[in-house]
Amino acid sequence: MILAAPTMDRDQTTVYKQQIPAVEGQRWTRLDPRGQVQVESEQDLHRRPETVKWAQTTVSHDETKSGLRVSGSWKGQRAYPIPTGRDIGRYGATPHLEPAAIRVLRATYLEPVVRSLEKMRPHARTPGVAPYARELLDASAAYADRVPDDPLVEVILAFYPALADENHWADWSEDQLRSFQSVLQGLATKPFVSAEMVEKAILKIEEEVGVDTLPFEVDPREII
Amino acid sequence: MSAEPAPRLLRLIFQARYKPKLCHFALADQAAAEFEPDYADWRRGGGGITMSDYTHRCMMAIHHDSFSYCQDLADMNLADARLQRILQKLPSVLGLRGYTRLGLREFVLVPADMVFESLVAVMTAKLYVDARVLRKALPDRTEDLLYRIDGSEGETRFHVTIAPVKRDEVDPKIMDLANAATVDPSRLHETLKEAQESLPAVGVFFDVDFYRESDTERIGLESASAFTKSARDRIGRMVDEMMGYLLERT
Repeated sequence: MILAAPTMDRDQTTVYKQQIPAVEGQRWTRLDPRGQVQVESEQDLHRRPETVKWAQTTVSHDETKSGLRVSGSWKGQRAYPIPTGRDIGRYGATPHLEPAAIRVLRATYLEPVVRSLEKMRPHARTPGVAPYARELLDASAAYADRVPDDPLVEVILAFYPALADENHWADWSEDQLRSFQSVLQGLATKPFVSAEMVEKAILKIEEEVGVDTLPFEVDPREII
Repeated sequence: MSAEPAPRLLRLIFQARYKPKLCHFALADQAAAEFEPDYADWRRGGGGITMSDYTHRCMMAIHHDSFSYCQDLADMNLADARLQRILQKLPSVLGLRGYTRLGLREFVLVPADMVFESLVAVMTAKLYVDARVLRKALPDRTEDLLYRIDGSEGETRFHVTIAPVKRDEVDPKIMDLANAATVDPSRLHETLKEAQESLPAVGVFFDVDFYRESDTERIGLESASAFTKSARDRIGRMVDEMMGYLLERT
């Protein structure tokens, strides 16, 4: 299930690059792209997924004047190492965990998720939210990776696309973030989380928070 | 919710070291004779004498540069009584002026209510940084681990080892009862079986060595009793706090 989430793919990075020019990204993230770029492997650079519209990152005149050294080699580089779905499930998920272990690991891995949501709230819908959104997505990926058996991960994964896809995290309001956090914390305190509770939580967030958990087109043939 | 399983002391080792003198070889026999009523079996070897009390699963050893006490029973009253007697008698018989090193080491096992693989996952999450770079560099899956640090607090120093263990790892990997002077060789098979059966299937193992040392014999003879008490208190607190942290126990 984790690996099947369609937007959790490296293509997300490409979309991100197209949306935020380098200088804008720097302003939002307060990171210098010259020092932070994460270069894809040579193989990755030349592999264009068919499902993604590929376009070269454009560089404006202002960027050149500002002293940034931007060249054609920017193509295929990440201006901002936002986590992608490729990270989830890639690093040795534990196959079976019993409730006692899940309880301990939940406390460990949910805490950074909740902390990121708390940090995002005051900056909601402002450029300042970007670094915390990255933290949130990174923490969510780590949680899903390390505690795949935790029912709470299902809730987080249901909303991962609504946050990560096309930078929707930038659209979430403070109230939406608060509601999401409140549902997560409410579930986390339950001694037992059933599939029904997970389903209700997802529906609750969809209805109350008003976010689309499938903000992308899915080809049914890919799912079957 | 069931009560939290209590830590179980597997082994306690006390050792005092001092500057070796030739007279200690001769005095060791005399010192050992003082303890013969408590330790019925003895053997010579390695430049020292080892005396065993198989009934109480404990032993003491006297060498030219150290004396030690080791106990494999989780009976702290016994340990207190035996250590007190050793610390009162031996230094005077051996003519010691001070110690160069005092050490107390405990092997503690805390049962864990989960399978080994889960415990490894929990301890990995709790003891190691979950950094992206590390995840890429290290193997995809952690199957076992050992957390090992050396530390100090003022004059006291520590060797700390923490690890998830399975029942069948405790012996021979940790306890090595077949070679311990605390087990009656004629009852080795039964003792190993009893020890094995009394262990939890999975647990968190602590090996904490709490010690003080000095190049000269500056550690006073009178400080040994207080040292053992503070060492046991500190190790007990360390185990409790670490278990609280590792398994979210309050």
